[in-house]
Amino acid sequence: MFRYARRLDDDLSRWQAAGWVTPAHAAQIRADVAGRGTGVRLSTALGTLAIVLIGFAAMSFVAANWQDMSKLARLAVIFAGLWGFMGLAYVFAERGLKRFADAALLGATVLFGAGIMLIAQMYHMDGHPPDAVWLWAVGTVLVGLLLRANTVLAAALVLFSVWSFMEMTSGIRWFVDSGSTTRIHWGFLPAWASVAAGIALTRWRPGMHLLAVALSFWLISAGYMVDRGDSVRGHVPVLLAGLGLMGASIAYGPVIDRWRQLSGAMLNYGLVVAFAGAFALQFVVDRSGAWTMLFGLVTLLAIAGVLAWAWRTDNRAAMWIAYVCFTVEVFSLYIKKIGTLLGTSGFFLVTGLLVAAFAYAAWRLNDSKTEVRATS
Amino acid sequence: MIDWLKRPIALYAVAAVLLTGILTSMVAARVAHLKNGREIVLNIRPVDPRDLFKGDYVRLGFDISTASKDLMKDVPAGRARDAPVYVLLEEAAEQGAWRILSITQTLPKAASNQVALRAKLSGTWLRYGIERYYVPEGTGPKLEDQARSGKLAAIVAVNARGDTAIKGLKLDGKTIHLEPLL
Repeated sequence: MFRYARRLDDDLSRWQAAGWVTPAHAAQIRADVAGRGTGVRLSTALGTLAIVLIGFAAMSFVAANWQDMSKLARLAVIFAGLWGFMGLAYVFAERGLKRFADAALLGATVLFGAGIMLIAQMYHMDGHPPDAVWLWAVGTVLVGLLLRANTVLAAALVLFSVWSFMEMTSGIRWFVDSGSTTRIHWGFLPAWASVAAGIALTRWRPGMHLLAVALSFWLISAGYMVDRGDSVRGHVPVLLAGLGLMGASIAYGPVIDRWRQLSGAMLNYGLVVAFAGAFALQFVVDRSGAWTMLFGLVTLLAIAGVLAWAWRTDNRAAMWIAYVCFTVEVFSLYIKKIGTLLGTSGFFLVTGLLVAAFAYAAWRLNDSKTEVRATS
Repeated sequence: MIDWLKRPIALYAVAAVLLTGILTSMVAARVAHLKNGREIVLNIRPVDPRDLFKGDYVRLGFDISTASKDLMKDVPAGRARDAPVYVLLEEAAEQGAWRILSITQTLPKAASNQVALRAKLSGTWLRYGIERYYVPEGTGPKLEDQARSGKLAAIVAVNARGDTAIKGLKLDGKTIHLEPLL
C-alpha cells in the first residue's frame, strides 16, 4: 500500500508536469488513495500480535501442567477463554471492527488447539500425533466456514498442511537407509476442498493464493511419496499436472479471465509445479547423462518459451519464476554431468552465451514493446 | 461485501458450542474408557535408563513392547503401515507379568486370564499408545530415582476394542500415582 501510494505520487508529479493531469485532479486522486486505506494497519498488526501472545500464554499454561487445579478447573479455564474470545469477536463485528473480530475468532481457535493438547496431557494420551493436529484443523475450518472468517480459514489451511506433512513423513526413518515407507496422503484433498469452499464464499484473493501454494506443495511432495521419490511414476504426474495447468491457462486465458482474473496466476503455479516435476525427473531419479542432457535441453527451451509468453501477456511474476527456473536448471545440469563432459570453462562459455542470447532477446522484445506503446 | 457485519450472534454461539463440544466429547470418551475398561497392570521397562524423564513427561517401555521373531510369522510383510495389530496377552501367576501369546490382524477372543490390546507395529516394536506419562513440573527426577530403586508398573484400562489408557503408576506393587477422572 505504501509502495503503491509512493509510486503513484511520483507518477502524478510527472503527469502533472507533462500537463496530462490538472493539480486539482492530482489532489483528488491522492485523497482517494489515502482514504481507501486497504493496507495493513498498525492496529491490526498489533491486534494479531496480541492474539499470538495470548495463544502462547495458553500453550505454556498447558506445558506448565498445573497440578494445583483439578482437571475440571483447568478445562473450565480453557472453555471460558474460548467463549470469551467468541463473545469478543461478536462485539467487535457489531461495532464494524472486522479485523479485530477476525483476530478474536483466531484466538478462540488457538484456545481450542490448546484444549486438545491439555486434554491429551491430562489423560496421558499418546496416540498418532497427526490426529491431534487434524482435530484442531477440523474445529478451525468449521469456525471459518460458519462465520466466513478469512484469517481463520487461512489458519485451518496451515493446520491441514502441517497435518498432511506429518502424515507423509511419519513413515520415514530419517537416519537409516532402509525401512522407510512413504505413500501419498490423499486425505489432504478433501481437507483442502473444505477450506477452498470457505474461501470461495468470501472471495478472498490472498486466500486463493494460499490455497494454490498449499496444493502445489502437496502435489510436488506427492511425487516424492511414490517409491521414496526414486521413480518416474511419482514425478511424471506432477510434471503433467503442471503442464496441464499451464496449457489450460494459455489456451483458455481470455475465457478464464472473463470469469475471474486468474489465468496469469494459473500459469505461474503451473510453471512452478511443472518445473519441480521436471527437476525431480532429471536430478532426483537416477538417469544416464544422455537422458539428463536431452531432458535438460528441452527444459531450457521450454523455459525460454514460457518467458516469451510471459512477456506477451505482461506477466511479470511468470518472467521472474522463469528466470529462477532457468538458473536452477543450468546450475543443476552443471553439477550433475555436463561439468565432466565439456569441462568447466566450456560449460560456462556455453551457458554464458545462452544467457546472453536470452538477455538480448528480452531486450529486443521489451524495446519493441515500448516503441509500440509510445506510438499508440 | 459487508456480510460479516450481519453474522448473527447465534452463529458465534454455534461455533463456540461446536468447539467446546468436540473437547468435551474427547474428555467424555476418555473418562468412560478409564471408568469402564478392564484394569490390568503392566510392568514397565525403561526405554533408556539415563534418559527416562525428559521434560515433563516420561517415555515408557514395557516388557510387552517388543515382539519376538516367531510371533511375527502371523503378520504379513506387505501389510498397510497404519493398520493396527492385536496382541493377545496372558498373565502369569505374578501380577504384571504379561506374556505375548500371539499377534493377529483381527481382535482375538480372550480367556479370563488373557487380554487383547490394540497396537501399532513398526519392525518388532509394538506401540500401544500408553508410552507417554505426563508428570508435574519438576517431579520427573524423583520418579526416576524411584524407578531405579524399585519395580515400576503402569495401571492400564483396556476397553472392549483393545484400546488402552493409563490410569496410574505402581511402584513395588504400591500405587504411587492415580489420576482422578475429572
